[in-house]
Amino acid sequence: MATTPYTSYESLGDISVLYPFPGSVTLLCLLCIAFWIVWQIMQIGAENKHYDEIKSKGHNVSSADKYSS
Amino acid sequence: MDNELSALNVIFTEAYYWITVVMMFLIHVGFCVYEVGVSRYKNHQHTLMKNTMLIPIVTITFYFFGWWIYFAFPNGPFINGGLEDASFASPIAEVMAPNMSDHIMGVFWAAFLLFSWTAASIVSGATIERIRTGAFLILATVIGSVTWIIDAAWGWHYGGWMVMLLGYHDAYASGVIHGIAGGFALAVIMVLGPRIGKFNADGSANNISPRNPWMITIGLFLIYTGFWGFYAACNVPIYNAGADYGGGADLFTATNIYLQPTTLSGITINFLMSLSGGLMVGYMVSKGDAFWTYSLGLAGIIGASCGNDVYHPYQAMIIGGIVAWCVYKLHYWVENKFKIDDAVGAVAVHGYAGSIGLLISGFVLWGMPATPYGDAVVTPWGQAIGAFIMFFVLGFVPAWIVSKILDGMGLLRIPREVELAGLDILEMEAKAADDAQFQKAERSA
Repeated sequence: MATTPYTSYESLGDISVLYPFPGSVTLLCLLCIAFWIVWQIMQIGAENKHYDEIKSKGHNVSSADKYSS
Repeated sequence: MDNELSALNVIFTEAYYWITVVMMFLIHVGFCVYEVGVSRYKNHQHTLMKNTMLIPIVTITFYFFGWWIYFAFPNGPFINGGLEDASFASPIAEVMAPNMSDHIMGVFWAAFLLFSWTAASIVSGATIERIRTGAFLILATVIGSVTWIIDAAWGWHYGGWMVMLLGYHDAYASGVIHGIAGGFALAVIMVLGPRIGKFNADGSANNISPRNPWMITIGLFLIYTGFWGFYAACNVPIYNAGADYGGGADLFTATNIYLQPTTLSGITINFLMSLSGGLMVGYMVSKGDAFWTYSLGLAGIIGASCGNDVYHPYQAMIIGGIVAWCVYKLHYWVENKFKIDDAVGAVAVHGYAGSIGLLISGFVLWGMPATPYGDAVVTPWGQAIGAFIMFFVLGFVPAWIVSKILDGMGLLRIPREVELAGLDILEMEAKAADDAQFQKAERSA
């Protein structure tokens, strides 16, 4: 059993694809696209939370001055 | 690759593009350093991370669909023919992965990808300190993986319709990267609005001084360094132009992206001469200001880039100087007239410089063959239309539409309270608490 489409290098000229599970590329592509979209949505959610926290703490234009060096 | 000579040719080309990719990485390092140097202390981390995170987002989306667009869209489609078959560049193509039958696709893809990062990063600088990271990453995807690569298919491809019909010539991407990115950035910052405090009630502008001019200096030097890789990546290093279209006998040469002959040697001189023209004029017009002198050096290169494959070095130098002067004047005129807050001068240094350079090149290169595969020649009107397409049609318009949509959804600009307090205020607060706790423990030890 092998995950790659080749099991030896005896006929090197016949080898093209080097990666494992060559039949799964379409599925992997769809999974990666889904990951990208979900990540983008989660990032916006995290960003909203971050801004809400700043607002809830009542920070203002002078807040950064005490931490600046 | 069944003999040493053909193997040498292929592996040399593979290594050539690989090196350009590594060099071009420095452009992004430079942009990150530069932006942090320009931003105020309370926004450093978010400014850095915004520009950093475009790397993965543009990379994966360029893999998903950007690369396919380049090979599928040279005809428009439906301007000079239909959609091209580009299945070999699709995200499920066998050659878009380790494959013994292809050594070039991956490095060629990566070279184009680094251009994508640059286009998006140019926009990043203009929008600092008030754009939301999430919105920026969506906009970065639009320019980095859609619009710039459409313009590359149209005007930076040996069979692109702009090349074949308009005689468009833009060897080192004055319009293809810099014009479009400048137009895109202009639309985003027009919708976004200026930073709070940039303009007074009477309309006069306040100068928001860069936090760290020395970081800006290092950043721009890194961009200059990476620009060498950018230039090299715009060339095909070895091509049998003689056998393809030059009379039939073998004649190997470096070519530009249109497969027209040039030399790496010649473009090296022109790069340095146009940089020099920009730096010298920039130094004088800005009275020795470091920010503007470096930026106008870059503008000098960008302005001459469209023709730097064939210009004489004196022409490159003069054009670089003229473009630098125009860019500096235009930046302040636009800022004061239209109340545009371009935090790093990106619209000017990239957008105006690239567009003005294209306009000039139409006169300097008038009548030169624009392609080895057709009758089109370079003309002032062809270059002017090309500059308009790059800056406005593919740069400004898509950015305006997407920015308006994001703005309508409340996703474009950070809240006023956050802008005033600073994007990093929570991190600064946490760091101060950590420091206090550590100092307390240190003293009691």
